[in-house]
Amino acid sequence: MTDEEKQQIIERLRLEQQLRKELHAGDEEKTPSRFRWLESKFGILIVGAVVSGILVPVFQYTQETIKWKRQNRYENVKYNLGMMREGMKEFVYVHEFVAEAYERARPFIENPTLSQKEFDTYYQQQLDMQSKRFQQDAKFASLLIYFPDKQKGNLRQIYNDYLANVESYMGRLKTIVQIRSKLLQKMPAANAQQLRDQLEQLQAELDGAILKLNQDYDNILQIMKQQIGESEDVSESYM
Amino acid sequence: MCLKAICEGRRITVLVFALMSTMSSPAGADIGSNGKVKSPYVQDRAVLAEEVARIKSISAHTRLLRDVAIQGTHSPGGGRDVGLMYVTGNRVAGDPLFAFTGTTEDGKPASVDFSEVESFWVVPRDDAAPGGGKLLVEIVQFPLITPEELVQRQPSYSELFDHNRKTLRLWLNTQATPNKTLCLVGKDETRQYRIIARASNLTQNTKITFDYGTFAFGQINLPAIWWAIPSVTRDSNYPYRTIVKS
Repeated sequence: MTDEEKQQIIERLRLEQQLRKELHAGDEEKTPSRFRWLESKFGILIVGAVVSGILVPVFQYTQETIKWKRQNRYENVKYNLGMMREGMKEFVYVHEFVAEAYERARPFIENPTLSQKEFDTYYQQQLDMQSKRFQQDAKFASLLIYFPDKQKGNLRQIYNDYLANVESYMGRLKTIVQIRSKLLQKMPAANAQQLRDQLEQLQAELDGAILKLNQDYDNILQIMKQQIGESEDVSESYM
Repeated sequence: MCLKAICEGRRITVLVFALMSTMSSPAGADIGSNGKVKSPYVQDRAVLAEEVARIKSISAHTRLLRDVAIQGTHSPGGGRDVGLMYVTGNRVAGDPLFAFTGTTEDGKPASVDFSEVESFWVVPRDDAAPGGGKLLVEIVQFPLITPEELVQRQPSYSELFDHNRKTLRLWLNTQATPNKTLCLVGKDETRQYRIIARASNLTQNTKITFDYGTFAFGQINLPAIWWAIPSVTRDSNYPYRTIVKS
């Protein structure tokens, strides 16, 4: 044998040895794992049963719960929104009494020649109107609870200030009519002049009161519009 | 539905009440059938240019905004003592500007004081795309007159409306720095400044009308309608009148 042939035989033996090592290593890796049974038909049956019997219903239940909660929240927001819109409408009716009171008192403010009978009719109508006004105030107050907590304090506070200003305004109107009524009676000229001065001052005060009432009215409406708008935004976020 | 019960009468502005103790009661003014006029001045008394200038300055700082339409929300903006300010995030700090300052479409710098603004709206333009850093607004200026000219000319409301009204388009920079954006700011019920709307979020093609605020004079608040001198308010077309809203 030549050296070259010997070298080839050695090379082949080395290659065989290396191949055996690699094959042996492959055998070690092929040790059966504990999940190998899953590859069997029985395993697949079990896995299928678990997925369709447990996981799918759990997933569907969770989805339904999320959907239901979302729907519930949406319904609440929608209901609140409706009540808030109702509240804004009722507030406009609340303010209508301010205009009505002025219109009822206007003949007495502008016309100094009225009979006592007309004054008596006014007092009776004024009583009826005040009664309706209080009912309307209560109706609106009951709807204030639907406005969000964050701003509710402010809205309630401004509304209370508004009510106080309305009371003061109504009081001025009543006093103006009473002075007009007194002026119908005979009295010394100095007393009559004093009453006329008082009347003039009350009329000027009435202008200031109307200005303030209009500001309060606008502020309350603006806050309500903003809160309704915010609720509409929330309502849309559920879509 | 908006029914308006109108307060009629022949006696004058609320200022009479405030001044009653210091001066004689002014003569009555026939103001027509649309309610008593709103004015900071005593009717039938000569008004000085300095007085008008002072109230004009107050007027610029006390304008009101209501029902400002904002993109992406149903909630309208509003506030008192409205101004413009470059704001970082939502924190309003510093003093606002009470004027629209920008450049005209010709590229000339211009400024419109808030006391002369009647209304404005955002003009939609391709070259003012969101994030572009600029915005085109159309401003209706009324009345465009100096206090001196107003007092000297003694115009009626109709004359002012016909001859002292102008529309101006201004480009505004909506960003001072990448973080600071131009905002309309106003005071809320707590008298703190807060953002009414970012300029870039104002709904396009929607008119925003400035209303007049009030200022304290003694015990009462007077409307800061600086141009409402007697010659103007005697006009039956004068619109600012005391009414009972409903």
